[in-house]
Amino acid sequence: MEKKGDHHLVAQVLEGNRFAYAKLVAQYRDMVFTLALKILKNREEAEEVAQDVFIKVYQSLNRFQGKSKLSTWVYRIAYNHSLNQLKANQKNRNTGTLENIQPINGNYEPDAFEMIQKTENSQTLQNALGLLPETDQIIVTLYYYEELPVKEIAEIVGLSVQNVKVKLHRSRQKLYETLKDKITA
Amino acid sequence: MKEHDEQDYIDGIIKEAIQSIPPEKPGKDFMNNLMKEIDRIEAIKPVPVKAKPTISAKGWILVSSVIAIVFALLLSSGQTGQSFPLLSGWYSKISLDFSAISIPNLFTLGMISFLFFFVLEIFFITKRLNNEKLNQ
Repeated sequence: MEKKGDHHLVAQVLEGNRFAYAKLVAQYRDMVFTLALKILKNREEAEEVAQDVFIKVYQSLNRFQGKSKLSTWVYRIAYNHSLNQLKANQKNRNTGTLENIQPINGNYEPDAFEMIQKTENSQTLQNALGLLPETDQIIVTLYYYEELPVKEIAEIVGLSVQNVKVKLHRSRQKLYETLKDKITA
Repeated sequence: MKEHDEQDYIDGIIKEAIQSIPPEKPGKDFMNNLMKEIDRIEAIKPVPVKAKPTISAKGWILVSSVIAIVFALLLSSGQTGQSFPLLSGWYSKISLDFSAISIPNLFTLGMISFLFFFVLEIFFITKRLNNEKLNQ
């Protein structure tokens, strides 16, 4: 999702206007932090990574050619930086698995969403999202929350469009199954 | 058709559910810390130095004039039995006999070579210093 006035703000930043950069950061801060947190699962680390990302963006802004959207460029830096940090940490992270969940059989609940809303759906969904692999979480977040097209998401995570579509489909099914189980339980 | 509807339905559920969760927010000091860090980076960032010749245009005119005068004197003094018409009157006034000075050809050649390499060296040194400043 391209934020309003990105190009104008970029031009102002390049002219040395740091206030314009603060505005730019404010537009992407939460999503960059969210992406980092989904990968690193540690708020302090995610905050550090988010700060590093915005410093890198600031220092590289003069090399941003505008071939892709600014949001795509910023999220790609955030994604890569978070992954690098994760690798550097060399910690054993138990991400759990949802592999045992059976594929959807068509017997979906017609009023499932209303039921989700009535229950503590946020926590349930966050737990379900947390069980997905890091990259899948990023894909789901960017697709459903930021409403980015699959092509841009593929660019951010460095996968093919087809691969992203497959991951998105699987994640969707897994999430639905988890949510449905919670609701019907 | 049914499968398509089903996928749309699931898509709608997931989308609304995800959008109902606000994104994570960093700490309150995030923006302040970031902008302070950017200010710090800007403060230590070297200001690009505009390439400026070590010897100014006036300097070159002065150097060229000196060289021209030296050459004129050398050439005029090298010709036996002839005096430099413009300077001959001046010579007589200050009572100096420059015609007695004999400059060997080897010395002249040496001076020319020296001046040539001197100018060449200045060109390369200036260029190198400017590059170093820009790369800092």
